[in-house]
Amino acid sequence: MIEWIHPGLILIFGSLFIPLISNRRVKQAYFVILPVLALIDLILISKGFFGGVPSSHWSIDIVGYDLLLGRVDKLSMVFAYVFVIAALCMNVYALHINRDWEHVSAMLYAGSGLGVVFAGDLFSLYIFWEIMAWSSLFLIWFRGTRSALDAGFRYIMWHLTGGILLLAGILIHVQTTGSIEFVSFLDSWGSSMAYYLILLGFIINAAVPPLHPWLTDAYPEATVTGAVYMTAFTTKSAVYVLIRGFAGLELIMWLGAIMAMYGVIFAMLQNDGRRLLAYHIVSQVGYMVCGAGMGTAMAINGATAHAFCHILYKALLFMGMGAVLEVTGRSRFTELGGLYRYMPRTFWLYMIGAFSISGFPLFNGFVSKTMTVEASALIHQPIVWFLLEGASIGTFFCIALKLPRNVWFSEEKPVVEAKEPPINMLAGMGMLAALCIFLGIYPKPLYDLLPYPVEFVPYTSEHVLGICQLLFFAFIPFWIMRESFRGEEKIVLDTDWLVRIPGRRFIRFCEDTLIRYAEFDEKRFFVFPALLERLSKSIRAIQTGYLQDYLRIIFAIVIISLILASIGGMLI
Amino acid sequence: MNDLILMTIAVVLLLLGSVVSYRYPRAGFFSAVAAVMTAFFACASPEYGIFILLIGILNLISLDAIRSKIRGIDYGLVGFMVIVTMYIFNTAELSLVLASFVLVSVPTYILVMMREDEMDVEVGVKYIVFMVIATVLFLTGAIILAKGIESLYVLGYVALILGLALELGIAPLHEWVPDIFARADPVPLSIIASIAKIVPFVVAFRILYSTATELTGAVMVFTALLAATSMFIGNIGALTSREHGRVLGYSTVANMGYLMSSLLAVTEPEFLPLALAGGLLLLFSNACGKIGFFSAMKGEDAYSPFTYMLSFSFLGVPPLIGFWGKLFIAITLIRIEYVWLAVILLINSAVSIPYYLRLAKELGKAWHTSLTGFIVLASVLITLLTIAPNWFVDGIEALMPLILIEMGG
Repeated sequence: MIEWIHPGLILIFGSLFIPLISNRRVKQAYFVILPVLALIDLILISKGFFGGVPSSHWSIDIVGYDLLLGRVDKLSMVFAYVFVIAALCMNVYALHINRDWEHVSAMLYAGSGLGVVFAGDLFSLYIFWEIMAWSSLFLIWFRGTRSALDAGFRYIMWHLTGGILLLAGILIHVQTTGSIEFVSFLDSWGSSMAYYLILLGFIINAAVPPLHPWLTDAYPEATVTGAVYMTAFTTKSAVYVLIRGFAGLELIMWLGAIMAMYGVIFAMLQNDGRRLLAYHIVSQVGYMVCGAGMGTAMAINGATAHAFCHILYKALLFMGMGAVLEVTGRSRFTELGGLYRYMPRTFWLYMIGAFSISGFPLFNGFVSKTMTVEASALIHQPIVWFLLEGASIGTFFCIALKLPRNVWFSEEKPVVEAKEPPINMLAGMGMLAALCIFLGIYPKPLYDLLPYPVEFVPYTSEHVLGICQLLFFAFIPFWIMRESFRGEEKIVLDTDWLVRIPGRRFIRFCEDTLIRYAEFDEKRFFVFPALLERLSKSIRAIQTGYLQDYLRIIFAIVIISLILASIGGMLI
Repeated sequence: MNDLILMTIAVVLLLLGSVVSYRYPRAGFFSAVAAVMTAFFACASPEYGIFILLIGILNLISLDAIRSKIRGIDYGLVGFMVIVTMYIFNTAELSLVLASFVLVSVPTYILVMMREDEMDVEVGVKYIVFMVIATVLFLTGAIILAKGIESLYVLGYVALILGLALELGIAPLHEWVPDIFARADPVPLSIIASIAKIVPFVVAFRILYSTATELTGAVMVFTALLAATSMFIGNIGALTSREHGRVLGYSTVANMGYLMSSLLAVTEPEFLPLALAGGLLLLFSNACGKIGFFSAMKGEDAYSPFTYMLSFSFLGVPPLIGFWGKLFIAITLIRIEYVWLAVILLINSAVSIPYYLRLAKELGKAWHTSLTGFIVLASVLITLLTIAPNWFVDGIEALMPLILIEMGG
């Protein structure tokens, strides 16, 4: 009997056959079947077909270390479920795309995300972590524009740097403890440099400000379908590892709470629809990071449930905005408006995502967000509670009011010709919208998946009235000042100013210094030898000054080294 | 004995092919491929041999991209290097091990001069001068170490390391590398930067292990300092270089620095397999990257995603071969308590990110079915051979009894 099948490897190895299928219909069917197979695998794992939950599978010895590819427990299963469900809906949305390698990249990306959540040790975690980074890069580059290429370049620089920090932390941890097991680092926190480096690696992927510009820079530049995949895996796998490794660390509770508000503030200033949504990923992931930092059972449940719901509605929102970009080629508010006449279905599907992210009752955001917010109240953290509640208002303001008004209304006549997107795109959105509503009305299946037993009841009059009140107060000022919330053509500098302004000067300084050194180096080897060359040319044409110069250096080093070695040898 | 017969058959095939190639150049290619495949069956380690075979065949195929004046003979030279590289673990005789070092080096003297329809003697002479000095230093060091005279041990060790540094292009004896890499033709460079680097490392590793004494621990700091210097100079030099050949030259300097650090494990038999596996995987990663990038420079039609994969392998991104090479070396360094060097290795990996990505970006193009496209694809496929590296590490562990060289007093 097969011991276990890794759902991530179904997607990873399955994706390699996509370019080999020539028939388009078969290829499309195969692309949808891949996540379905992974989902069946997950259901079998849940049902105990491979030994129940929790259990461990696929332990591989590599150079004396036991890599564990299949740590199955409630936490890994809930993330795995949402990753696979999201991948299925996203594949349906992306069915019309002809670029095989984009599909391959997307499945490698989703598969490695599953690899991260099932990794029971730090080495296999790192391996899948890095595969996620480079496979997602191609989802940006396939857009093919100059700005996408540049954004991809910056994106991978961030992730490779974060990966090296993570690896450095892992190696120091392994050296100190002798163990590669991926468990909570809370008890060891502060005892070694390793944990700061590991946390740094994790929070870069979680896009915690000021380490978030890779997200808000790259996601809006990705392909229409690529951006949808990117909303799900990188930041949420980072949330997963934060819960697993640093749950209860107060530092990340504060980082998360600030992050929730930070993302909202910058989102309000955006003129590009997908960039606005990207800032809201920062904000929403803030709730999850904060929940991980609080570390109580309710907070961990809240963070996990919110990650689950967020993947569904954020993908839906990116799909809606992506559909607009697909049919109009535009995503800036100043170039859009009045599209409701052409794209009513897209609008309503988008609005289901918008109500969900705003935490409207009967939508899935309500059943998850309130759990994290209430957890902050239960541990008596009023500032955290205030930041999280405040971020909810901003979220509703931007996503349910500002963006739809600027894209689908605001102008009496549509500013550009449009139509509904291809049917598969609407189908993908419809699947996610149905899930958002289903889990909003009936959260039990979600709650059953959570790592701890759920005692939280979302639909109390206190919760419902509280959120309605907040949203109402957000709507009134928006409606009064709605004309002021048109987009503006401007560049909003975020923490990327660190790179763009003083960073540019710093780079210039470094480059100048290095170039001066290089010029000196060149002069030493090319100008000075050129003088020598003139003298020696008549004697031996083949003999250039360069060689002499090289030899002089090499002989000097060799002679000094050998003299020192002789003296050293005698002394020893 | 069987392996000696097979090796002899391989050399005879090569010689016949080279002779016939005077009339039929294509025969040179086929005889070289047949010879290296024969040598593969004689190789002491199939795990090691399969990489040498694949890299060697790629080197042979890449010769098709240049109109050489020595067409036919060039296949023989490269084939001979591959056979010697296959043979390096088969013998425990010091004289044969040292002969291998020389035999791999000599063909590169001719190859480096190859250009389209001519021979660049100037580059050749410059290269030969450095290689001769390197060989003299290396052999002197090896003989002093083999003699086992305690008072001369440090001198012998330093001479051998200096010879190795000059041969491989380790800073501060690296000056010839960026210069030659910027001037010579990409095709012979792809051979010099790939297959030619393996034997010097293996020979040095085996000699240092076989002659290690209680003095080795103290003098090893010299190797560690050279390794760190080479990593920094290589990577920083590449950052400001614009010519692709020069960037690849500095990349070699940096990679040889990483490689050098694996030699620090020679006093710790427990970590020897890991260090040797790490060093070899790093060499294979370097070989694949150099073959791919030099072919891309020559053919100008390498497929962009593949050039990025090669860069990722150089950077040490999992699960590509370069990752395992760097990881094994870093783990070895940490276990033998050279943590500072492991940290420098990781810092240098970060420093190298911009230039490897720039290289991939500038050399990557749209897909074309061509010789270059095939070579770059094949190079990428080799970097995927160790997605699960256990088979290779097990192979190297099995090789350990053959590492020791008989010094014979």
